[in-house]
Amino acid sequence: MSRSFYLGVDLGGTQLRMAAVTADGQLASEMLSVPTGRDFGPKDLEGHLADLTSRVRSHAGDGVAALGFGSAGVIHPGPLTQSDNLPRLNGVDLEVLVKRVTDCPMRIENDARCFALAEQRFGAGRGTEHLCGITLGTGVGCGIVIGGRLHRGSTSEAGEVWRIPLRGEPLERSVSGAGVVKAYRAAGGAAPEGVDAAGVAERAGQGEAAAQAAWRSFGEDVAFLCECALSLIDPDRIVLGGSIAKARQLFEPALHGVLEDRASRIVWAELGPAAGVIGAAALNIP
Amino acid sequence: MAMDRTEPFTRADVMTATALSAPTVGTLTQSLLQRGLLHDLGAGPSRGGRRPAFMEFNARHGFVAGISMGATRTHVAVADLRGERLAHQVLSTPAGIGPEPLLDRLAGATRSVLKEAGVRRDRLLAAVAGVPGAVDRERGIVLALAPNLRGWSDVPVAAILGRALGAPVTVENDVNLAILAERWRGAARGHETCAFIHGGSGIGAGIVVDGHLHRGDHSLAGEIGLMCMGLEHLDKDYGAKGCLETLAGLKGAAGRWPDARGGLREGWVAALFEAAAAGDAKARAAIDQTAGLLGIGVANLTLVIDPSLVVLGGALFEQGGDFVSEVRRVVARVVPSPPEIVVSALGSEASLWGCLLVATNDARARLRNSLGDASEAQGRRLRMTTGATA
Repeated sequence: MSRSFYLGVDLGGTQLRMAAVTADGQLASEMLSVPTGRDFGPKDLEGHLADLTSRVRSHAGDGVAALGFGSAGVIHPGPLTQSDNLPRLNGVDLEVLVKRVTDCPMRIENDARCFALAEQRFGAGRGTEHLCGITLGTGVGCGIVIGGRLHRGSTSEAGEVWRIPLRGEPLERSVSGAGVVKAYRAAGGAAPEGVDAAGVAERAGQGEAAAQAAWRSFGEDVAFLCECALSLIDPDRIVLGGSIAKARQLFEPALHGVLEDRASRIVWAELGPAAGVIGAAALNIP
Repeated sequence: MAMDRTEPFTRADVMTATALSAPTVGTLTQSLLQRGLLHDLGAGPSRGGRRPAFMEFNARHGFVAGISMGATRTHVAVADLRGERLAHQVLSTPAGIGPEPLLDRLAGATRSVLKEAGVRRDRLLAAVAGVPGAVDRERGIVLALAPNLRGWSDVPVAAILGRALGAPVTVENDVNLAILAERWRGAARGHETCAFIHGGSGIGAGIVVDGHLHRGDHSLAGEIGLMCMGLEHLDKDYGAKGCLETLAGLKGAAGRWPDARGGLREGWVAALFEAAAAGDAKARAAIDQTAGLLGIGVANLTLVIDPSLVVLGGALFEQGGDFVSEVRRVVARVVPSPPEIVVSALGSEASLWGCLLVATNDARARLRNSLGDASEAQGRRLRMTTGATA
């Protein structure tokens, strides 16, 4: 008689988010969130996870079928590796930790793959067979859906696009929040300590030329990444999301300028900040 | 098809494999023996009881053809239903004529190879044409071909060749065929997620994901010749100058070696590598820069797809060890745990073998369908007479 809910957890470089999700991808509870960051460690995760789980369960009732967990980093069985934005979680076996805290059957997947899965099933990629989801935020992530299923690759490292070389360094040095600030400085912008991508966006909105140039450069670099994905995967759509996608109007013209007729295949995420949580839950939704 | 196996078998083997009843298997094998799809091998030694009758699949019941079109050379071969090659010809790809006359000549070459193999034209069950370009496989249309074969757009290759050969024809991209062939009988056996990268006058990749060829939404997956190599290459002429094919294709390599500029004569690639080996610094730089760009292409493919193996084929990679080592070195700088990177085991015949593989699959599928109709009718009759339910 009780409806089934799927818990979704999204552990990112700035936020830990959680909600209950219905089988058709709708939020069934309020989305709860707490901040994370470079100092966020396993004890923080345990504490917040226990707290969030009990709060979500009180919203959604007892019909929780399973928990899906999206995390930054490369997800292999065993300890987390290559989590550059949450370095204190490297070496932590998230599956063991989450099972101990929540006592729920669980699946874990890279957060960008959760984003791609959510948008493919319930968002801007509905009805597509092949899709790339790219998250633009603290770092850059990429989830790939091939034939309606998440593509993981032979060592679970498919979509590690942040390493793609651009101007002799990993693309993530440019396609990230820090990359926007770097481009702003390179364009002659006066960026005191603590200025972030949002700050550069604000200055661009006020008409500052260096800030606008930084976003143009960012748009071209995102186009470079899209070109790479288009030539390899030939997806029906590329869905762009993540916190920096909010500054879309500042870099979309440059992105389209580079992609020309292929720009029609670039769409924007529809599920907003909930995409990661919905995608994590979707790992268990049949 | 439980009887489509390499070793001889008995009716009892078929019953075990299919869970069909003895009378059904008896009727089926009788009909297949009559139609020539099975060979009767006579009775084997008794295992206690009646001596079992052995038979085997007749791989020469029908034949297939592969036509692998290259920018300069075209391979044509005929094989039996297991893909065993019976005859093979290599001809210069006719240049400067339109698609229809060219396809007409290739059909002529195919008939000549059939004759050489001693195969009657009505025994040709399927043919596959591999082309260096984008294809719409469902409709059998070549959308656009590699630079050396300009003037091709929306050519209904399957229909034209099919009419000329009197057999159904499938059209497929040559690099896609190459990775299928390498998985079948080359360097990629046992690899479920892998890629073939062709580096020659054109550059392209064939990608297999979880055992299936990945074609993409517009049959353009793996068209890495168009991969952007960085905004510094672009200036105002995006795509025409900054993509992998223009920078690392044969023309790109030639552009870095002054001695090649007199014209791309036959054998200049070998001459370039000889010059580098003899200490020509410009030749060495041209090779290393080209290998570096291809290495970045391999690295980008690896980061997106994560294959367990990348097979390299085409004129540049065939020049051997140093070039491939340089590619590996660049990949290892970008990817922390790179996949195995090897040179094609099938060389210039990789796509041709892919044609034969796909053609045998097509031919077997058609045989199965025609048998399926026949055996279904038999099954119905059997059920009517015995009252058995399926």
